[in-house]
Amino acid sequence: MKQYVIRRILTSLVVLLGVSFLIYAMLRMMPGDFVEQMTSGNPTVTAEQKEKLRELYGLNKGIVEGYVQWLSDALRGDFGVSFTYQRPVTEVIGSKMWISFSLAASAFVIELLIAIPLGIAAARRQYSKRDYLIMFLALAGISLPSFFFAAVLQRIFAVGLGWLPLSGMVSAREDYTGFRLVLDIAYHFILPVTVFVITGIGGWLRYVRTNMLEVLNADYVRTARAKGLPESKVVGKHAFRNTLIPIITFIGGSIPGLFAGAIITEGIFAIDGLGKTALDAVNNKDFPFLMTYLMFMAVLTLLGTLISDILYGLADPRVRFR
Amino acid sequence: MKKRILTIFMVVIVMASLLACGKKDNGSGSEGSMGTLVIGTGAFNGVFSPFFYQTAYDAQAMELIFVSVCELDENNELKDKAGHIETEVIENDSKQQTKYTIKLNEGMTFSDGEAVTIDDLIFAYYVYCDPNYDGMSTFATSLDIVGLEEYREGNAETISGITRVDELTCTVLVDGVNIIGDRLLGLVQLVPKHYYGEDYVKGDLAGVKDKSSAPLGSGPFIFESYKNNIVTVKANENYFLGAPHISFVKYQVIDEEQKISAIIKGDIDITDPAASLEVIDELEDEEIPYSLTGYPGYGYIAISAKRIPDIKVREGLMHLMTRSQAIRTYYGDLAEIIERPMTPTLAEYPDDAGEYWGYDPQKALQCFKEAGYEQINGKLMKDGKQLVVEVGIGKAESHPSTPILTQMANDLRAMGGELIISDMEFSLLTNRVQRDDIDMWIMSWGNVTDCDMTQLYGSEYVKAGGSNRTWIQDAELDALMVEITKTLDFAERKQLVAEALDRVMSWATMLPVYQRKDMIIYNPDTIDMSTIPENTSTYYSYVNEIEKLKLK
Repeated sequence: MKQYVIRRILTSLVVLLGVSFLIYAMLRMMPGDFVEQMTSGNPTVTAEQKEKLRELYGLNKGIVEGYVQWLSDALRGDFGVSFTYQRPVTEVIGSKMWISFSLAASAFVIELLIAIPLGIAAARRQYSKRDYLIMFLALAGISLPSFFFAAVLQRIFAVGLGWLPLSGMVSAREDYTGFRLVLDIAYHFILPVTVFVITGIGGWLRYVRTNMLEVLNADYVRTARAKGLPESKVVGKHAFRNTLIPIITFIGGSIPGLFAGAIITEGIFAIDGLGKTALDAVNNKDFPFLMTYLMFMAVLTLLGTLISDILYGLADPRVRFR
Repeated sequence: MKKRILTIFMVVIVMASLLACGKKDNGSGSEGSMGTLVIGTGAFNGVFSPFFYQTAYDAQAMELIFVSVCELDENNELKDKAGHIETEVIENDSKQQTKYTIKLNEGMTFSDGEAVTIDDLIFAYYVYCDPNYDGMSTFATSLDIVGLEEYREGNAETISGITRVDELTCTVLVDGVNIIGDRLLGLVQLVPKHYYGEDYVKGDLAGVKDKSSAPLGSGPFIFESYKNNIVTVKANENYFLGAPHISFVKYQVIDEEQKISAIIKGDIDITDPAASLEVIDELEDEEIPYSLTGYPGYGYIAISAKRIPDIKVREGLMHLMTRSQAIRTYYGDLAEIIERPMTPTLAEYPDDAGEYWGYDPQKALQCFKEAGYEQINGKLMKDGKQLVVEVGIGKAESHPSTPILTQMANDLRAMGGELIISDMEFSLLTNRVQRDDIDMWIMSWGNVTDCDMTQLYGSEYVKAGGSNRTWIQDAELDALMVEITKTLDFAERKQLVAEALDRVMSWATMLPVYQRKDMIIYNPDTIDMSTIPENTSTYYSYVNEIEKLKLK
């Protein structure tokens, strides 16, 4: 097991190295750069000033030369200073990622709490009205565009009924501190979390249902039924436990992704998270930020698959690591 | 720590939904909030430094923290604020120089209690002129301060043209005459040298940059915090124009689409949605007061004289563009068609200028024929090639100028030519324009405060990175533009500007299209509208008189 993990981590490092060069080269090949972006529309900036700025921002180096420089800095833990935020990139990501994570994680927990029981309920009566209704709702949720759904929720609950705040993270007019502040933030997160849950729950529902169906048709379930066990025990103990194996694997693999941020929803609700920041960085050509953010995503993805593989072994004793 | 907060948070979110109902009677205008003004704005980068900010939103969050020596009045004229600037042209053996004398008001203090002195202003000039300055200000490149080049390029320790006279006065000597010199010098914000300049030595701006997250100035408000997408500033009791009536101003980030809803709901008090006919209707329905001011810029359609060198072809294209229908439909009264490529918010704009080219397909065809094109089998051909022009536009589906292009494409097709409309992402368009890789494009210029056009149309600015991407190369125009920047007499200057703009038009590379309106909306339930300046304009708004603003 230990050996397996070490080997996986070592291969991941090689993959990361390749990924980093690809990302670097692609970002550098984007048309335009930060200086061009920031000075467009301003006729008083001269060509000399732009050239000088490129030099100061390190944008005048070739791709290979620049990459080697980036890599040697990165290996020493220096990921550069964001062009737009003018703070170390790691600091910017560090401060915003927890906001994105708390949003995504709350939604994630709620999704699971709803999706697992409903998915099982649907699977137990396949092709019944209940099954169709649950699957219809799941598909409807998946198909809802988040920007549209968010706007509808805002119209109804914020503008129309006035129950919930329209957007933002705290009530600007008040100066809450301590527990009241936490409550206020939670109050502001209700709508965005709802958008996450409704649009994200469908995938989980379908996953739970499919896995449950597979297990319910397995031989050992038939055996359990044949020996006269009550249905609740068959489903609750024998079937559900086996369904948990793929679900836990999937959950473990999804956790790193919770840090990634949600581009559209964060923008609509004026939440200072990583997703909105990444989109702005693309528009502003904030090279050091994008480079580090994408590397961060790469690490999260590799971590996700690694966690799910390890969990798979832990949850299913039949799997052996080699 | 963060993880613990997170755990609490997850428990709390459920409780909060229960609390939500009880909270609504605590909505807008609740007790204790009388002293807080909430302004809706766009996302912050958190760079709250007069030297290094990059976005209008960061600048907005700082506008109450700092004051400058002068400010612009409603007519875009310089007037005294924290001091006074005097311009004097001197003849130094056949060489013209300008001496600016800047004098600060007595008795001003920064919000930390230290007195404001001329050293603080001089320090700001030095930061802008630093050889390693990497902000977006054009201060150092726009003004020929005597000794600046030696300072930036060589080993000079000081800029010889900047002289400290006494505690509150300094002089700046500039080569030549520059109509915007007083603006450049007078609109620099006063920053405390003892704070920003703590570790400053020539060439090392790290110490100045370190202060970007905690600005300190002498303005009507004092920076308090930036967190949760809100910037909070509190009243400066010692502000030299009097303590503000409002105790706190908060800048709340809000999505463009939500601005009006947020005013209606009472979440914010002042904001600036993009003006459209739809928005006006909504505001009038809800009886929300608003100000409309001219945007200090304009939209244009440009043709590259490098890519289409034959002026007759360019003239033909000019005759195929009809603007009023498109702009009227899109903007109604929220934009006006302009006839010369300059923002009409400038007093120098020639108000009586008429349409230069005019829509006339017959004339267009005539021009193409004069350029040597012939209609062969229904195609406009010259030397075996069809007339094909590519025009670049960003977000064509919602761009006010799109109908101009579709009309033009139809007319051109009827004649046998082709107009390729390329809808592309804005940064890609910028990039292609910069590389002279597109024949025609639709863009706009913004934030114009003066009538200096040298960089837009000057021959030398066609080089890579320069702003003259239409490739106008006209020695007479060059001379005229230099003349403009040296003419201090307004009437004379206005005449020269009109001449220069006519010459620009004659190149058939620039078709000015429209100048739109900016909008500010106010929450009538919270704001005492009688304290909003009546002379609100492009250059002057409630911000300039924030200390007088009252809440209901």
